[in-house]
Amino acid sequence: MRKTVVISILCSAIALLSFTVKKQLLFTIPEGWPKPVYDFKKNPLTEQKIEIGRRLFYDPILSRDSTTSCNSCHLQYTAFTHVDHRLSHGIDNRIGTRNSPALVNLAWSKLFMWDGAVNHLDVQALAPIANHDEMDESLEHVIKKLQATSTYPALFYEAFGDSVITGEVVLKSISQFMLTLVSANAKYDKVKRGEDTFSVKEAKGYALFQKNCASCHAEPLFTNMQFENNGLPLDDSLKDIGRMKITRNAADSLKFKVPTLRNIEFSQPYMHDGRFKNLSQVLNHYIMGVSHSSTLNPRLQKGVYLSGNEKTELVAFLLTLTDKEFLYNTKFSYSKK
Amino acid sequence: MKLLLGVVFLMLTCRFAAGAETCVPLRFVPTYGGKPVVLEQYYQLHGGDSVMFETFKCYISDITFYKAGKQVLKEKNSYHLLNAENEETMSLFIHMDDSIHYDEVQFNMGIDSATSTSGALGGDLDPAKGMFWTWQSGYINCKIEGRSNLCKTRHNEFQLHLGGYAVPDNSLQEVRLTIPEGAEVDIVIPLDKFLSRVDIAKQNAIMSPGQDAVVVARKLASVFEVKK
Repeated sequence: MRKTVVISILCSAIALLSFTVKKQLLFTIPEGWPKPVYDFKKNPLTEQKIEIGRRLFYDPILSRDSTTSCNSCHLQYTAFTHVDHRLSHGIDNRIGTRNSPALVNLAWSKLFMWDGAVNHLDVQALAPIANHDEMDESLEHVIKKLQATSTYPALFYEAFGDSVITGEVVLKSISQFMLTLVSANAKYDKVKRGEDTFSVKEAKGYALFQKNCASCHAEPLFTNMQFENNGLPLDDSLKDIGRMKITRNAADSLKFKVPTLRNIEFSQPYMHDGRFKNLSQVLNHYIMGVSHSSTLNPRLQKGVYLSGNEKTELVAFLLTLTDKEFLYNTKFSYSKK
Repeated sequence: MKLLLGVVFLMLTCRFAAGAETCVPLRFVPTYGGKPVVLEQYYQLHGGDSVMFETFKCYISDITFYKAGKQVLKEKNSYHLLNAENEETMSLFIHMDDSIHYDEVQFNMGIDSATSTSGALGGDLDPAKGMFWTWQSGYINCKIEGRSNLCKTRHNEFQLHLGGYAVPDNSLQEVRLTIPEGAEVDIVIPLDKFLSRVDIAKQNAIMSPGQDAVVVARKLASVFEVKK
C-alpha cells in the first residue's frame, strides 16, 4: 500500500516536472523581470499554436493580393522592424503614416501601436490587416482564404481540435508567436546576471543612461510603457498628434508610446515618423532639438546636457542592448516546415 | 408562410426545454410604421422624404430577469449579435427553471468594457463578425446603415457605427422592460421613432467613439419597447 503511494507521488512529481520543463521552453520570465501583462491562462501556449502563428506571420495570404506579410515591415534581423524607411510601406507601394515598431517583449505591453489605439495583443493584428496602406484585407476574407488552403485546416485541427478556422483562433495563434519574441540575452543582461562585464566606456554610458534616459526607458524592458511627449516638433505634413487622437484629451497631445531601446543598434530609423536615421541624430535632438510645449515630459523640461565624449559613452552602452541570440534565433525565422 | 416557419423554428430551438426547464423566447423586431422592417425597402419620412435600411446589427448582452424588482436570473455568457439579415439571430432563447417567475427583463445594448479589452473572443464576439473596430480596439455596439435623400453624402448613404467603451465615451446602454410571463416576448425597435429623434441630415457618418455615438446610442435604446 505504502509502496503504491510512494510510486504515485513519484509519478506525479515527474509529470509535474516534465510539464514545467516543457512550459519553460515555450515562455519564461527572465530573472528579475516583472510579471507579464498578457493573460496566458486565456491562451495557453502550445508548440502547434505557436507554429501556426509563425506561419501566419510570414504568410502574405493575410494581405489583399498576397504580396504583403507581417514580416514585410517586421524583419527579424533588424529587430522585427522596417529599416531604411521613415514611414513603413505596405501593399501597392502605399506609404503609411508611421514608422513600424520593433516587435519584442510584447507580453509585457498593455497597449499597442504608437498611440495605444489597440488594447490587447490578440487584436493588434487586425489593424495592419485592415489598414488600406498596409494589407488592405479583412479578417473575414483571410479566414475564407485560409480555409481553402490545403495546409491550414489540418494545422488548426491539430492545434485547436477543430478544422473550422475562426477569427478567434487566427488571432490567438498570431499572439502565441508574438509572445515568444523575448529578447533578454544582450550583453547588458549578461552583465546584470554576472556573466560578463561592461567596458569602462560602457559603464560610463550606463551611468549617463540612468541619469538622463531611464525615467522613460525604464529597465529591464527599456520602456516605462507610458505615452510621452519627447519634444519632437510637429511634422507639418503628417500633423500626427499621437495619443490624443485616441483619448481626445488635450493632455495627451504629441504623446507617443515610449519604445524599447533593446536592439536599437538595428532598429533605425528612430521615432514614430522615423525622422532620425542614426543614434547621433537622436542624441542631438535631446541635447538641443527639444521643442517645448505644455505636454513635454518633465524630465526633458530640465534639459539634457552631454559632451562629445559622453555621447560616445552613451552610444557604447546602447549597443550593449543588442541581443544577437534573439536576432538570429531560428525559432523566430521563416518556417521551412 | 414566414410566420409558420418562425413558429417551427421556435419549437425547434425550445424543444430541449424539457422537464422542469422552460424557455423564454425574446424576439427583437426593428419596425417602421408598426410593421417589421424589410431591408432595402424604402419608407416614407415626414414631408415626402424617404429612408431605406441596409444593415441592422446590434449586440444584446447581460440578459437579466427580475420579479418585483429582485433579480431572479442572469444568463451566463450572455452575448448575442442580432443581425436583421439573418432572421435566426433576431430571436434569443433564454432557458430557465420553470419555478422562476419574472415581470421584467434587462439587457445591455452593446458590449461592456471588460469584455472589450479581453483580446480575441469567439462566437458572436469573434472579431471576424465585422463588429470590432480594427484601427482602434473596441466593439461596434450597434450598426445601422442605409440611405436617405436627407443625407447629402455619396449615394445618400448614412452609417451609424455606435461604439466606444472607455469613459467618457462609453456608448453601452442599459434597457429594462416590463414583460408578460409565460409567453413569447416581442421587443420592437421602432426605427421611425428613432429617426424622429436623430437628425440624419447632419448625423449620418458616425464611425468612431465619441459623444455623437453616445447620444445616438442613447436615442436608439430609448425606443426599445415590448409589443402589446
